[in-house]
Amino acid sequence: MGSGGVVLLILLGALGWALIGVLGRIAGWRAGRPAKVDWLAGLLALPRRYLVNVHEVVARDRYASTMHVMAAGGLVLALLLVVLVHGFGIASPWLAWPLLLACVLTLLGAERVLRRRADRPPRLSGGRWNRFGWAIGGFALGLAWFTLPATGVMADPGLLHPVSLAFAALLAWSAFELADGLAHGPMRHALAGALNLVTHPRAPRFSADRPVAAIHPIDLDAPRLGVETPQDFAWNRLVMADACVACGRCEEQCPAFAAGQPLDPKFVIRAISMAQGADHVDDRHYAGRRWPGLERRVGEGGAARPLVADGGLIPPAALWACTTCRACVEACPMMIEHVDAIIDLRRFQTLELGAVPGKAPAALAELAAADNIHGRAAARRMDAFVDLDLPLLREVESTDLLLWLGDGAFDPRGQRAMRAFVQVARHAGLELAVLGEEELDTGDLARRLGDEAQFQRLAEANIATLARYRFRRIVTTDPHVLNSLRNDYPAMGGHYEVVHHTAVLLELAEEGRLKFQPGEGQAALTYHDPCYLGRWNGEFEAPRRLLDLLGPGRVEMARHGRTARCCGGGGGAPLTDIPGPRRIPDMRMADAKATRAGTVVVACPNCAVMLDGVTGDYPAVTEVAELVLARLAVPAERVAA
Amino acid sequence: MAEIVTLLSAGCHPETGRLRPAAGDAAALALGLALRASGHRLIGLHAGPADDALRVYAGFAEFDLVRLNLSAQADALPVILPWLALRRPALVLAGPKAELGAGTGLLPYALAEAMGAACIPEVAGVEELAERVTLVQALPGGRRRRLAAPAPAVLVAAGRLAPPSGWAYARAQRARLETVPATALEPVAATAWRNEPARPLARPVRRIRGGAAARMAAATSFTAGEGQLLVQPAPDEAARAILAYLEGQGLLRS
Repeated sequence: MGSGGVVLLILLGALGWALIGVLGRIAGWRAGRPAKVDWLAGLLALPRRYLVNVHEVVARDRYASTMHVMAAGGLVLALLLVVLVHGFGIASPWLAWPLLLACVLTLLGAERVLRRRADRPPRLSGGRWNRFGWAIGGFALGLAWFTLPATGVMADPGLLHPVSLAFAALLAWSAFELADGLAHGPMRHALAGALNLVTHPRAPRFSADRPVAAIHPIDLDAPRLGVETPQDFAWNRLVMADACVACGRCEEQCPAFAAGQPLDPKFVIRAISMAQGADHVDDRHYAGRRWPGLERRVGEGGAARPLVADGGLIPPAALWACTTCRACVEACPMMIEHVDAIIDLRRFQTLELGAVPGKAPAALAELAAADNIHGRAAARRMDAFVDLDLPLLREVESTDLLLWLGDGAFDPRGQRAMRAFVQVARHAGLELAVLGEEELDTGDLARRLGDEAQFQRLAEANIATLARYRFRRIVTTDPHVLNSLRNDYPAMGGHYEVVHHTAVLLELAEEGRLKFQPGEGQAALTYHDPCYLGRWNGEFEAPRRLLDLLGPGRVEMARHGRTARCCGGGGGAPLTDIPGPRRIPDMRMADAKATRAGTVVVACPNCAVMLDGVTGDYPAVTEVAELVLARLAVPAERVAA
Repeated sequence: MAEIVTLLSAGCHPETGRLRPAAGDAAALALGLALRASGHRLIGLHAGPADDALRVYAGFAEFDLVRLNLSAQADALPVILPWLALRRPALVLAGPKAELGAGTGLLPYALAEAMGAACIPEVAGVEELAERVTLVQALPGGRRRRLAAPAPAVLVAAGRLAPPSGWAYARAQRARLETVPATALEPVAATAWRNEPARPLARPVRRIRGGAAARMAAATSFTAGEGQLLVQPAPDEAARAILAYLEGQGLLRS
């Protein structure tokens, strides 16, 4: 037997070993709940999703992207060629040389992997991941040695030659390390990652305009609401958890993690992945960073055991610290949907256990009896606007633009912004009407706190109300309302054109219906992206263009646009109020201060409250509409109230 | 282990008038659930026309729920009494007042009288239940006292007590309610009653003589209370002042 034969033997052995592991993993996935998957469309879209969507995220870290192109590209090429050269024994130099080059490319990639590991950033997991680079390098090196004879560089020294034996051992170890990893280790990200791209539950996120992120509704008559154990997840969500490459980019972006609250989006996903593969497992072997503040905690779980519990793999506080800002999802190169998983887990906690912490249960109880979380009578929503004489849709029956007031109508900060918008809109000659006391909470907060029952009740009621009237568009100052009506209502049967007031103001300004005068001695502005306008709805440009029309001097915070840091006000986080050593809004105001801007411009009533509440020497907080009103080229008192 | 019955009436949201768990009865339920956790059996009892009023309580925990089918106007006492006489619970828990209808807060007292049991108001916690019930009663000014009474007893929850935590939609939906038919007498006095919206009592106004300057002075100056002002006192002195205050309030036993 030539020494090349040993390659075939090792590879076949490793392949068999990998197959056994992968079949076990597949059995674990199949234990999940059923999901509708369009296989054909998914498979056809795979190359594009990988080469465009995944690459776009990976390439934000140039080092990692080059490393991955070399190591993964080299490895895939080598594996294809190895089938021809060693599998079919075609010892042509036309194949052997490319194989050798692929091995060298892989080796260079592995060198970059190991170089990064030498000074491992804390976001990267250790443990088996530390061996990964050695395994790839060893595999490439071993393969290269046994390919040399085929290139004609040297004669086959035979398998019994001591050097050959050493390389055979190296190849065997690395091949089995990689093969075993396909089910239980780092290589799993390649298999599950590709499958995740095919069976992804949010296919629209891959389209060119990357629209809308709706949250999937659940059947409230199901025997178990929400997700308790890994097996309660849809099977493609289990695949998704297995796709995690443990890069920790989500961790870097997570505002709750940065605030020291016990949430680590990477650990949430790793915990689901860890639990689904075993009947019983604990997280002592977990090699990434642990829940902030709970570093010594040991969690236990399994495929059919509760994920979230005091002694579970995910501590309840982790679940409730999430602001649903989607920064983790945006940063994930594997297209994992952390927020969906958290909402699914919250649903079980809320609907089945009633285990919502902090002031959230009281808010949900008021929502149940009064249709707003403040427990106010429906008519009180109009209290702050009586002097504006806003026409009620009930009386006028049709309107071009329906103003949805939202929860900000109960809060002085939100009222100020809304009044400013109404004044500016009227100044530009825009007709607005409101629902008044017929408007109920959209149910957005309830949905994000896991209370799907209340969301569905409120959505149905609002949709029934809206069906009675004619209007062309709904405008709102609240991105949470916008997201709810635009993305969450269609699944409940309500299809509307919903615009944010920044978009309406931009339209008016660009049509020349608003004239601005520069403010006196104006300091620079910086714009804070609301998560639900930006990341959730992809509207980054309109507010910026509007601000640029107001005058020069807009600066950007280091984290803006898709990577903007949350204000801390989303997902019911102010109600669940999970303690941490730092506060998210404080950190955001520090971001703003670092730009030396005099004013932070916000476009969301929640952001306004959160950022305005930060005390100390920080920039002023202004809502976009307030700023537009102040910069109108007419004295403010002459703007029709 | 003993059996406990908690009376659950239909609640009413003060602003919207919609159905909800009555705050006082939810507080009584919290006492009952704490006892259930130590092994006693808890039954929630509602006398009224609709399951919905009882179902809102079912979300707090899984426990037995019984509804005595009764019209909304009917007097609950003559229906609850015979039912309780059959079950002979060791404790009856109630809220301090109803949120709807003619509930005046008299029911637990009337029940206790008819049962020949003690009625204890302002209960902040139950410590032990056996032959006797040991409980903590809330007194004004944050004071507490421990009381013991022979079982059976009727306990009225303190109004400020927190409702039970953990209301869950699925529990409320899946709860199985037992309905007991009941024949009730219409209260004879009902026709004579007249409903009118409550009026807030006018606050007595303190009249100040001596013109605008005196009124301004009265509005802006602070009259010293009974307290004692200590500015950066020595720790010993501060501790003595605190002890003296607590003793004066009867919160310390010397």
